[in-house]
Amino acid sequence: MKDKTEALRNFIEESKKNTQARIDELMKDERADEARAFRAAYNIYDVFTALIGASEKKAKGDESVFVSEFKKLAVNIPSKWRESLEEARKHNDAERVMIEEAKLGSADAIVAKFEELF
Amino acid sequence: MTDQETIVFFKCLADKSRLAILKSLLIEDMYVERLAERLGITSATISFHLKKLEEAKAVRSYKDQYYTMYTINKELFGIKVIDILREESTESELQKEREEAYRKKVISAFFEYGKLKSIPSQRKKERIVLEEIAKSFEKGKTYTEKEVNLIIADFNDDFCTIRRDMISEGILDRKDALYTKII
Repeated sequence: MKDKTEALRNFIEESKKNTQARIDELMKDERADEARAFRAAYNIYDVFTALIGASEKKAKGDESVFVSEFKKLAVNIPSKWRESLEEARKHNDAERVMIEEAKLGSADAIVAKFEELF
Repeated sequence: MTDQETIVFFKCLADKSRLAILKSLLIEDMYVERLAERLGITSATISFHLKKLEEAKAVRSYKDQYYTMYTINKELFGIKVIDILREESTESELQKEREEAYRKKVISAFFEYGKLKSIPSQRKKERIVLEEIAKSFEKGKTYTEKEVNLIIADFNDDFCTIRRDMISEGILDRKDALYTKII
């Protein structure tokens, strides 16, 4: 289990670096509004790092407990963002749609990696 | 153009993606997905930029069958920059701009998707919020209390407080259990 959680953490760190690079590139390119959406996506990585820690604590080394705890959190937390995205689409709130889609993009990529590893 | 409109316009142009969108629209009118494909940006991001450009009056939209098409505002871009700089705003126009900007800020802070999030505690801000709700009433028409409550409840559940405050602010008048909009 330790190797897998390590791999997941490494994936998150790598994604964080890539997102920061993208933010820097957009700022240099005078695309500050789009950089803001990526900043929102960047913050998601710390959220999921905390989720890994919380799930590990509850699991106490038991992989199946870790998997079920992480899955619970990984579904519940982004579900609020999905609701927010739907609400934003309903009201043509283009800015909120852009930001929520960026956040969910990060979240979905982490969950996909988790499913690949576990 | 007022000073405020000028600032909004130039700030809006100070973005590479928005410039790319405008350059594309100079070629021909386009819809969101077409622009997204052409510029390699997501549709959500294109929609965001188009909204900014519309607010700055740099582009206009129109319906063409199933599509919402966007077109560049050639009249605005035809104005010489030096003519924009030559325009002088009077003090009263500047004051009006400041008040309008403050009003928009309050509405943006307290309303979300047409719903009032909370009643402001500051009287000045509350007045702005009540005036915004008052737009849902027709001037000169009489309403029963039930009708008033239904209209206000569409914005916020605390229709009693809002109704009472609209009366004390002189926005609604109550006579013989009937209400009329004054402002």
